[in-house]
Amino acid sequence: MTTAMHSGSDWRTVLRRLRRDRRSVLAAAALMGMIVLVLAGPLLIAYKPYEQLDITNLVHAAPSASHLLGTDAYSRDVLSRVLSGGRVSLAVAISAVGIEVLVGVLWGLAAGLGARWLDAIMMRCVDAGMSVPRVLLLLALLAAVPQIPVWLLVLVLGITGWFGIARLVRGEVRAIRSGDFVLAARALGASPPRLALRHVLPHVLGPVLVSATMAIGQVIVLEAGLSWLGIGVQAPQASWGNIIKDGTEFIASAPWVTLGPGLCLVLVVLAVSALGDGLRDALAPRQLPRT
Amino acid sequence: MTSDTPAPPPPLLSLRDVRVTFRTADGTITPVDGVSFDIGRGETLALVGESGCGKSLTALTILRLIDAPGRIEAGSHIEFDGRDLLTMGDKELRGVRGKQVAMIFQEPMTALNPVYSAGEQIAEVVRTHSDCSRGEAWAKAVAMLGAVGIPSPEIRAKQYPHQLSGGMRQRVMIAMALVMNPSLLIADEPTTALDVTIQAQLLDLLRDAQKARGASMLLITHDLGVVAESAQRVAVMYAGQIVESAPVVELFASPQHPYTQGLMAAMPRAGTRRERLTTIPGTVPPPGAWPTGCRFADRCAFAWKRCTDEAPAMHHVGDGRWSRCHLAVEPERRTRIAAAGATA
Amino acid sequence: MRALIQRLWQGLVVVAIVVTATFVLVRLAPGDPFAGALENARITPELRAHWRAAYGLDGSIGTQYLHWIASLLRGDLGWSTSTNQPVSHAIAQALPHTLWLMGCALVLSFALGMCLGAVQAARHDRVTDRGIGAITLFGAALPDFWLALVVLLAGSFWLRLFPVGGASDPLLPMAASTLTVLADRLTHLVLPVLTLVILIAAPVARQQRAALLDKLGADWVRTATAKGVAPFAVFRRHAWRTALGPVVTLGGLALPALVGGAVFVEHVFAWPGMGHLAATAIDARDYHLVVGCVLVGAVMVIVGSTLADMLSERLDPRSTQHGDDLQRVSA
Repeated sequence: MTTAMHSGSDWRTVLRRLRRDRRSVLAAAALMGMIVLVLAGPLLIAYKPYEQLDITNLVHAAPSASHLLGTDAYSRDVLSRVLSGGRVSLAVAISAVGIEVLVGVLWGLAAGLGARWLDAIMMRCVDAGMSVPRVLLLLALLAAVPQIPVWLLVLVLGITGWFGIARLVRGEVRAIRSGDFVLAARALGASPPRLALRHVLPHVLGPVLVSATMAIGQVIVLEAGLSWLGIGVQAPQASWGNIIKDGTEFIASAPWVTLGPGLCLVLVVLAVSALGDGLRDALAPRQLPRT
Repeated sequence: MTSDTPAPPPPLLSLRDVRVTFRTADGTITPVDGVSFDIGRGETLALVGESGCGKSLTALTILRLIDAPGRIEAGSHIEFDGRDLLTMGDKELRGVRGKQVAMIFQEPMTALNPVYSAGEQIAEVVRTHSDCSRGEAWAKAVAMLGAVGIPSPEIRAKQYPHQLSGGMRQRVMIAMALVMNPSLLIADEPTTALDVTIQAQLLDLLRDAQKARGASMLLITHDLGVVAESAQRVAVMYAGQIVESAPVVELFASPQHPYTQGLMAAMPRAGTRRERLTTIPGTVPPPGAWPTGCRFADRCAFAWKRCTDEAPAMHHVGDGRWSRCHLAVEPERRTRIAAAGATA
Repeated sequence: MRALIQRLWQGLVVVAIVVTATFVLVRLAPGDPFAGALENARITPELRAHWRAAYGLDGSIGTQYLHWIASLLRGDLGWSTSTNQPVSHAIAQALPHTLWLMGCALVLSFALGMCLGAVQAARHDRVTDRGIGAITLFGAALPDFWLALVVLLAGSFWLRLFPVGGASDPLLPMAASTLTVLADRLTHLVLPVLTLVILIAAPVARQQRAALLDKLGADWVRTATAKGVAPFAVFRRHAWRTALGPVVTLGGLALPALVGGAVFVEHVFAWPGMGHLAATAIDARDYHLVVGCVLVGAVMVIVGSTLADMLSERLDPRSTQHGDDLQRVSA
């Protein structure tokens, strides 16, 4: 009986609304398609992402039938690198967002359910976290490490991005705490931990899910940017960001190396934004006027 | 010599067969379904019904304030002072709104713009409909605030809605409505959001203002007590239709429609000792699922086969009295069923 | 007045947290700052100890922290090994360029974004709305560094209209007229500003559209229409004006992301601002400079969002600033 009374609808209704929204269905399909492609990629393409095909003739070959996205400075097939990189980029983004959600929800719950003073301190930390430009913070954290392992990248991305979710959760918890129905539940004898789990958590999950969906788009772009700067995913492991990095130097002569992965990034962000919007609409539909 | 009774003056406002539909994800609904009534000059008509019956929407329709996904269906006819409100051009309609027909809304906190002062919002009406300068408009606004009983109006006029109490905000709304001397006031549950003592004051204010200007009023409410105090005639609405209309005294004395009777019986009265409040069994049908036949049939103690098969028309049941009920043509059933001991 | 002080106090607390966090970061940086710089055998252990003491690295964590605060207050952010000058000097040179770039970009993008959003809301659900909506959706999805590269590609290499980078032409003769200098500066400004405008205007337009649509459904808009006010006046006075506050607040909240995006844009266009400084510092592993940039960046953002909050409060009289002067009396 985890009805999300906040929006007056339960999960089945939300799913139904989502299914009816053409834009969300399209976005979800696009995302699924991309995930399938990057996972199945190595099976579909003959070339390996690290394979230097023909260093004398195939360096920076323009896109053609055999190389849909051309080749790069080392005569590697760009499309296979993009697919391989996509796996890394998507995996990093999803895991980092997972960490964001975990930390954010726990922090927000603690602050929302805790005493006033605890809430104040915890929220000031959130404010501080939100004030620092995330990119600068990531620079500061990652620049000190000479060779960044992927797990560290994921961790750092995650711990720099939970602030918004924490604030969201804390806000919802505070609102619910002073809400009438919580009073009613307590009058019926519900204890605080049970209150938290059964009544508060389900309400918060909806908006958190929307945030998390959008966050995937933000993080994947961030990781790409960091890799482009050289402090993200390290060579020889491909990621969309470092493919663009390799291509930047030759942007005038071989633009396809930069454009290919970039368009993939744009596509992911578009799909994720549309899905997030659709989720938000599905959770809180517009009401008819009073009669 | 036979005396010629002069023909009654034409009504100020006349609604005929007004129908409003809304297109929703689940289909088209018709929350206002064939509403007709008249309001004479200087008269107050109360439109009564529970939440969801369509009374507020009916009021909004008069000034064409219905927005997509709602629409006023063709075949609806609204006439004000001899002019057709539904086919009027936009510019002409704007000349009517706020000046000849003015509306007072239910929730003054949200019905007033939070970033402008009370005085500015009243002055806005003045400047929209006349060539007054800012200073003149402001002076009129302040004067109007005083006229609706707000003390220190010069100070209050500069205040923002959130700085005023609920009763005061509603007085501001009333001032806004009265400032251009409209001939018709539409008050949509003007006192519902306020407590009872303020309610009495505001109703008195409205009544006095109306009488002083010779204006008519359409008073929307769900509170029968308010009706008794303020109206000359009453129209009862149920499920998008008018089910009964009568002069107020007669309505209270002998309600004809079973729904009206139920409403009257449900009113707790001082002086009677009762264990439980009487309720009307069942619930209002949702606007997407109007039944064929009488919409009140499944809750009506008097219903018989004809009621579920055939929707009743408005029948004349007395002088200025109408009832949408088959009992009007088969009155003997009423006594028969009552005698059989069924709860009435 | 009271609210202003409270606001400043909150900002100060946040700055304190950021300062402390950066202190922790600096201490966590692997390696002794003096190990590399003092490879020279001629530098005796006594000298090393002296330098350590001078930089406060010999005391406990507590004293080190106090040293850190003290040096910050003095304006001393450490030494930049890559540019061979105090960090504060490097930042002081770069900061004006960033402010200039961000300033132009913010003004233009907010103006554009708010217009687009307003047009969309006014023509809700019609072709114009959907068309602009598609463009802003696309714009908001563009990665900052990638867009910068594309704009550079298109503007400098394909169209050959604009210079490849930098803030000015280093080869311009000293005696060049002011007009030439101005024109030169402007052409260098175009591409980076264009990139930032596309990046910022898109989400601003989306936010403005959402805020306006929300306010358009407000009861007071219906009241205004019922009063006979003309449609454009209703839109302007009752929808747009009430939607202004939230847009400004959101602008303030988006400042951190803006500054972050500027890092990439500056780097691509070799714009000599703080972002470019930070990016090159990373390449050179100049850790103190990186941290200095982070700190200054954070302070800039805090100042900016405080200003935005204050502006938004001015726009909405429901804030306590106006309210506590006047009395509330019941009817």
